[in-house]
Amino acid sequence: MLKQIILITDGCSNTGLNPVVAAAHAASAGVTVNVIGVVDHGEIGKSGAAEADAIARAGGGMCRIVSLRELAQTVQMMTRRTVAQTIRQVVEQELKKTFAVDSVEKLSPVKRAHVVKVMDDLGETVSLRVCLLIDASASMRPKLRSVEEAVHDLSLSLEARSGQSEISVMYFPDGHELTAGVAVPWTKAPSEIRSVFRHLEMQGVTPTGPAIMSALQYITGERTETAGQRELAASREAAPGTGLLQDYVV
Amino acid sequence: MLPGDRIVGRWNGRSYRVEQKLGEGANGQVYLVTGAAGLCALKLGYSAVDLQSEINGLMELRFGTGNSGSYVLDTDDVTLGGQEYPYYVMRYVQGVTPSRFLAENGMDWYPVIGWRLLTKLSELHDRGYIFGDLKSDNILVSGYGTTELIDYGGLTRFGKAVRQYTELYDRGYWRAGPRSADAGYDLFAFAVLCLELADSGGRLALLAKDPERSATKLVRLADQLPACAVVAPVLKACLTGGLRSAEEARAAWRRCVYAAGADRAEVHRSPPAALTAVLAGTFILSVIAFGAALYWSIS
Repeated sequence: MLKQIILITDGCSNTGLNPVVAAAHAASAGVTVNVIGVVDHGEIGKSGAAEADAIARAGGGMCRIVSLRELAQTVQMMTRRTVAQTIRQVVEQELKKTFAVDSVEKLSPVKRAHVVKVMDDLGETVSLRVCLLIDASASMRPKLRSVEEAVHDLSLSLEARSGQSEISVMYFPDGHELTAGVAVPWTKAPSEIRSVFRHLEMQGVTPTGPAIMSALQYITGERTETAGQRELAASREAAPGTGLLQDYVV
Repeated sequence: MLPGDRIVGRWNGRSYRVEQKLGEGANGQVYLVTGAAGLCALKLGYSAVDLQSEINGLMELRFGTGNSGSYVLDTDDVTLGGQEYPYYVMRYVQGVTPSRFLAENGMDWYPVIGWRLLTKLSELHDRGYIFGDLKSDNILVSGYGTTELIDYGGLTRFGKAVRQYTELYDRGYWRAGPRSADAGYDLFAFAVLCLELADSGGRLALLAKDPERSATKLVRLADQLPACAVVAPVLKACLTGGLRSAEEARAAWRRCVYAAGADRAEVHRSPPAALTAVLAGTFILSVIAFGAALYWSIS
């Protein structure tokens, strides 16, 4: 199963564990960390951009600074690229063993055609877990609508795949906790998500590092949902399509 | 690459001279080149994997049923400025984008281009693929409305996740259905494209920015744009998933266009614009001529 965290933020972390270290933890556990910095009239700031870039590097993922309008497309593109890249790494390890070449580029066009076909098939069928980790600090509030839209857009792309895909959405800070809270628990039918953020209490602090650690725990299964969340998930399954999700309080 | 540059393939050794840059797609840049077989288009890829994936799709089209010949004439790598680039060579297609063609030749050609596009889509669908990334930039029109699809980066086998798309034309973006390959996906993009071509006031672009965008709003737009009034029923069916295949859309399109041709004779009798009168007159004459020809050929 391929696992990735997509961190969506608009600034710098200011408390807790260094997020670059947290991303390195994720990478060593085989979880890719991608970062999207969203700007909306203005700048993410030099230090914000530098931090975003460093987190992505440490997390083995990519970093993009985009406007709100590009957010949905970027989330979707990153997810797809990460899947492709991870598969490529695995395939290239095999190539080294069997053909003694270390990259797809070095294969002849005929061999390349076969290998890429296998990679494409894998990309379409491999099971996938994507955790969207949302910076919900005060300055992000006006951007959450776009984030919701990006979640829906990603779910469309994932549901079209033949392989199993699961999405979850986490946000930080979670009240006065430094860890991240679960806004949407793992779901295989993400298009049923109606509203991602309701009654979200915005805080000034940005504990990006601890949040990445929470997401890492959640994606690797080290942390399970709280009892309350399980209950909500259960009630949703019991009555799909009703207004229950509208009242989903995080 | 600049005009006059030479490209010599690393594996096959074929050589090409660059004439000019034709355009740029998501996976690479396209150049007009002269090879041993004359003028061709050469796509230089940014990534060997992405380009190969596109080539694989095109090769399957070639070896599939049907006889549209080979899309891919050569695939190879070239070293430019110390870096390896993958490329493939294809048939050179001349033409301009549909919007430019219509601006230069008049909206009378609108139904012709739509018809030809549906024909192209229907051919692909018959082979089990959708085009995926249907948009104005990926279409070239020339001569008497000859329409060709270019840039097959979105080519997707039926049932798979659409490989490449552009938001404005994407069924998912308009919340009108899944992002998986079926005939309806291409037809939806086709309808948006037709609205775009009929829309001189930028109304489609406004709808696309609306957070409450939906297929219903596109349907309303189809009713409001005079330039696409004739085919509005087909466009609406494409937008709402009311058609099962491009073939069905083609039949519906033809019905609308032919019926409108007949209607123009009616317009003639009510106070007409001078041009309408002339057109209607011409149409009646051609109907009479056709009838006469038919009668003559039967007898």
